[in-house]
Amino acid sequence: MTEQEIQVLKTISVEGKHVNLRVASPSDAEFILELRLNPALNRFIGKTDPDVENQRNWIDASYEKTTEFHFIIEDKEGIPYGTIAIYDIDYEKGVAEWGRWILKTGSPAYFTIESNLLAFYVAFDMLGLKKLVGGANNENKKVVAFHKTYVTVTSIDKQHTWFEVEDANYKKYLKTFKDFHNIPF
Amino acid sequence: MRNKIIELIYSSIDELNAQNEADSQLTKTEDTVIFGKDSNIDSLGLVNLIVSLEQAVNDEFNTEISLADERAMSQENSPFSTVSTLADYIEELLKQ
Repeated sequence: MTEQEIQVLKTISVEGKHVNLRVASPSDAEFILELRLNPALNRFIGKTDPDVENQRNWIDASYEKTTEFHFIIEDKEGIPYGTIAIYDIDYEKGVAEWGRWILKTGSPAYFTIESNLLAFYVAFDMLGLKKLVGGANNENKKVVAFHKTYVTVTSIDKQHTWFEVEDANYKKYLKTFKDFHNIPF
Repeated sequence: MRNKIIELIYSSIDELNAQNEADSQLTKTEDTVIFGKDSNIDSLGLVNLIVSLEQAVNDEFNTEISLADERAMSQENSPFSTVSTLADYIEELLKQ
């Protein structure tokens, strides 16, 4: 995939059944900060600089990178609900990390499932990657339990459970939640 | 059959409670609200409960029923409203 093709992909909204993913732009800075500075949501994520201007600059820099897709999860009316990202993409090895997955409190259960599936759709079906890796804090038990239903646990250390997702995991996930998405499989 | 289903639901609630904070525990009664505005669990908790229960029911009854149904998880009169309605729903699916 060429650099130009990747940048074109960044302008596309990935249309799901109930949610869409679009790459974040600087105008999303306030929303992202609102999420990341919310004590109910930020217990298990890294520290966030609360300055809006710095956040805008960070999003701008992320947008320019060909190795990163930082998505806003929004409903079909364009109302933002959360974020998810694929980053540190190594196109040669076909590997990337996925994470930064945060959804507003009260988001419907099917938003939870479909947003994660759409990120996998981008990684495997659009970018042609072979593997996604990620981790969750061991104390974030609900997220660890959720991922364990379809990913492969590669290791567990004192703080984190580490996962990887390959095509077979992705297909299993698509099948389990076949009613929740419009991704062909 | 219904008693066995209730037992499986309670076992999935135990699993879910182990993932939740002390103030987000579900009690094991047939009237316990699982889904809706009075529910004590969030969307990720609901997904985990349903996936765990689906697996347990299919293992126990050697079936392939699907509980992860989008309409059921979104409609107002959801079969996931309480432990009792969920047990009825599973019993109905198993009879089909």
